[in-house]
Amino acid sequence: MLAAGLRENDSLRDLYLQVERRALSLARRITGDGALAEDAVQEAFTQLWEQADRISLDGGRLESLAMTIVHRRAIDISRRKQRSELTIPDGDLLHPIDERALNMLEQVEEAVTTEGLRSRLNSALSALPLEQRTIVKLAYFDEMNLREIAEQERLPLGTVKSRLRLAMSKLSGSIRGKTA
Amino acid sequence: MNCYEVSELLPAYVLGALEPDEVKLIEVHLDQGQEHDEELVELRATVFALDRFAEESSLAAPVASTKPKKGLIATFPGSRGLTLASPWRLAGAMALVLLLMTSVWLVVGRNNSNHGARNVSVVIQGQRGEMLGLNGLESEATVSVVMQGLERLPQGRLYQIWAVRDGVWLKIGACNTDAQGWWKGDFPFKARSGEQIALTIEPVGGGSSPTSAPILISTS
Repeated sequence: MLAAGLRENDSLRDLYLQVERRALSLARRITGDGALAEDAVQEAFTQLWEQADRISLDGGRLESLAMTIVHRRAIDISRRKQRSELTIPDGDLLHPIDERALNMLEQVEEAVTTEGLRSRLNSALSALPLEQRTIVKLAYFDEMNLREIAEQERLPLGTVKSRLRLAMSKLSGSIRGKTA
Repeated sequence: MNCYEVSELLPAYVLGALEPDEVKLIEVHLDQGQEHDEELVELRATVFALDRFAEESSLAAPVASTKPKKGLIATFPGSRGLTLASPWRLAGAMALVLLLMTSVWLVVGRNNSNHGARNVSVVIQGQRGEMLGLNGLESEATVSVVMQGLERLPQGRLYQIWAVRDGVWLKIGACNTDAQGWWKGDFPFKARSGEQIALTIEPVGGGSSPTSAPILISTS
């Protein structure tokens, strides 16, 4: 199946609206810069538009494809930025830790396929105990900080911290294919 | 801040869930050595994976189906668009009420300390028979939801359930119905009595407020 249909009607705009928030968040985490993140998302959608008739979905999901392209464009932009600013001490644009994390994720993705990785992560999210799922929902999806979560849930701050730590440890393990 | 304290806070650090002063303290500590590098790489990879693949609907825990027979459409007193068109509809309504009551009974039964806890129970009926039921206890951090008669949404769209608390829209959870227009499951959410419940259709990973008008909303 090709993504050529993206050029028809409002398909690309609809796709953009679906992934905009997550795409900007992903690009911001990679580039560490809001303006560069916007550039990365714009470049990714331009590429999708230009190459729509050459992109094979291979049974994958369109949102995942878009996020993958955003991911790659954000890395490219960070590297370009780093190269062009070698004389300026700004090593934070693509921190070595992030480089290693992205490599690690790419290796897992190559080993288990994109759908395999998606499935591992979402199964692990579903399998978290309710109290840990709640904290992940509030911290990640609702973008609340620990103090706000503790207040809302009427929990000690230490409990919120430890629940989040346990949940993230299980999610990390699931990505590497380890059961918690 | 020592290594143990930093390790405790690293998950929140990579998710951006710390106060700026805590971020500064952590970064000062991280700059002093490499002992947290492995931890950080794993956590950053997890966040990148969440960014790319996480589906909010995975946070809902679907309950084993106790689906009523196909064709039964529930209607409930006190809901919008109330029409008890046939005995079958009434039977369907009663079946779903029983289902919801059973959910609450199970919740109460799990925790004896809930004696006297206030029950939050909302059923919203649309004009074409579509229905959203929500049940929970104020003392519990979970709510049970039943949806029926709601068309399965295409890829990239989800039903988002909201609570409207003091004018603020709070996300309860997102899900999609099956081919028969049915869904039942639990969401991590602390409901409060008196708040409005609403249902909208949102893009996957949608924002912190609705992007479209509610297709179902309870009366306040």
